Amino acid sequence: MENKHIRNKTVLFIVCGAFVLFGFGVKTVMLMDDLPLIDLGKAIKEAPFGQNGNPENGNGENPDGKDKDGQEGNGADTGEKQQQTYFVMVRGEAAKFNDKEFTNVKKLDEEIRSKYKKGDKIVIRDDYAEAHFYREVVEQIVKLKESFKIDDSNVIMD
Amino acid sequence: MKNSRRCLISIIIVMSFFMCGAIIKKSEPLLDISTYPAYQNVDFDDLSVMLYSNSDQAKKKYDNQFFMVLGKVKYRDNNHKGIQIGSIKNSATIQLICKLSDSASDKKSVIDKLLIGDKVKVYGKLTYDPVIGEWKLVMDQIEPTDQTKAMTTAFSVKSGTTIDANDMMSRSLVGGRISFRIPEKWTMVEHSLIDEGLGRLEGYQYCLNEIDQQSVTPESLFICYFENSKHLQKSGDKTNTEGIERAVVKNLLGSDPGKPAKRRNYFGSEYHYYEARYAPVGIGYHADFIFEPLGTEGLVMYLYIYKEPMHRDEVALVMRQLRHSSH
Repeated sequence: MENKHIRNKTVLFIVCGAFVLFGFGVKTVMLMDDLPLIDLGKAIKEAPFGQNGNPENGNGENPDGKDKDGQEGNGADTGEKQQQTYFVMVRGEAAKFNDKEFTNVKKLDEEIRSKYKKGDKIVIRDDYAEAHFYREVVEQIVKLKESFKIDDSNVIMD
Repeated sequence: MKNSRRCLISIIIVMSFFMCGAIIKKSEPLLDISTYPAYQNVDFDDLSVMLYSNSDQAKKKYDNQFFMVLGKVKYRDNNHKGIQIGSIKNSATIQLICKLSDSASDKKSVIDKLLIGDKVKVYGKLTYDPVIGEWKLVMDQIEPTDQTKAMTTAFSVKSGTTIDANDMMSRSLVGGRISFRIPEKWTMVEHSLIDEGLGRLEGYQYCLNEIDQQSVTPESLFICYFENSKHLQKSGDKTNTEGIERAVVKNLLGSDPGKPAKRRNYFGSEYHYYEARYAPVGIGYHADFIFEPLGTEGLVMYLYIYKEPMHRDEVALVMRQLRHSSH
C-alpha cells in the first residue's frame, strides 16, 4: 500500500517535471495572422551576386540613400561611387523618396535631382496611389529622365 | 493493467532523461554576450577619470560593462593570474587590478612573458567590489601591444576586430526610437524589408556574404522591430514577452523553439536567445534569434542566418551599437 503511494507520487513528480521541461507553462501567443513576418524564401537565396533579395538592387543598393553617419548625401561625391537604386513609393497623394514624404511633385523632383548620379536606377512603385497623383509623379520623372538622359532601363515602373 | 502502468512510467522516465540530455547538451549561443561581447576601447587615463571623477555615477554606469583597457603593466602577480595596470603616460598613480577569468586561464602564458612597463590591451568585464571599495577588471583576454592611444568611440571583440562608431553609418527604426550603426560596407548589401517586399516587419536585411563578393552561400543578418499593437491578436499578450518571441520564431520557421537562453545585456535589460534551424528544401542553415523588449510596445529582433558565421565579429559589434528609447 505504501509502495503504491510512493509510486503514485513519483509518477506525479515525473509528469510535472516533463511539463516544466517541455515548457507547457508558457501561454501560447497568437499573432494577427499566419502570413510570414519575413519572406525568408525570397530573402535567403543561394544566388549569383547582386541577385539576392530584390533582383533590381544589384550590389550598390542603399535604399535610404544615406551617407556616412546617416547624413543625406549632397550630390557632390567624388571618386568611385556604387550605383544605387532609388525607390519612389507612391501612396494616396504622397510619394516617399529617400525616407522623405512629398505631396508636392516639384519638391520631389528637386530631391531626386539632388541625389541622382549617372547610372543610378529609379523604381517607381504604385502602392495604392491616387491615379492623378501617380500620373503627375510619372510625368515629372519622365521629364527628369529626358533632362538627365537616363537610359530607359534605369527607370522602372514597378 | 499493472503492466501497462509500468510501461507508461518507463516511457515517462526515458523521455525525461532524453529531455534533460537535450538541455545539458544545448550549445552556447554564437553571439552570447557573456562569452563573446563587444568591448568599448578606453585608455587607462580616460578610464580613471570616468571611474573616479563621480564615483556614484560611475558605479551605475560602468559596473559590469565590458572594456578593452589600454595601459601599462605596473605589477604582476606571482601566480601569474593577474596584473595591475596603470597610465601609459605615467600621469596617474591609480592602478587597476586585472584578474584572469576562469575561462581565460590559458592566458597565463601571456602574463608569464609580460614585463613591468609593457603596454597591454586588457579585455574584460569591469566590476566594482564594494567590500574593498575598488574597481577590478575580470580579464577575458590580454595581449601586448605597441598601440599608444585608444579611442572611446571604438569597440572590439576578442579576435581583435575593432570598429570606430564614428566610421559607421546610422540607421533608425520606429521614427528614431531605435537607432543603430552599421559598417560602411554593409550599406552595399542592405535591403529594406517593407520597401522591397521582403516582409511585414520594419527593418533591414544585410546580405553579408555579398560584401566584397566573398561567397555565394547566404549569410544574412536581419535587424527589425516587432510591433505588438500591429501583430498581436490579443493586446493582453503584450506582457508575455517569451510567448511573443516563440510565436515569432514559429511564424518564421514553423516550429516552437522552446525556452530561450537569457543574458543581461549591455544596457541592463535582457537578450533572449533562440537557436533554430532554417531548412528550405535540401539546405540547412543556422537561424539564431536574439530578442530584446522595447517596453511592452514591441521587440527588437536580430535574426542571423548562416552556414559559416564569417561576419560574427561585425554582427557582435553592430549589436553593441543598437540603442532604443528604453535604454
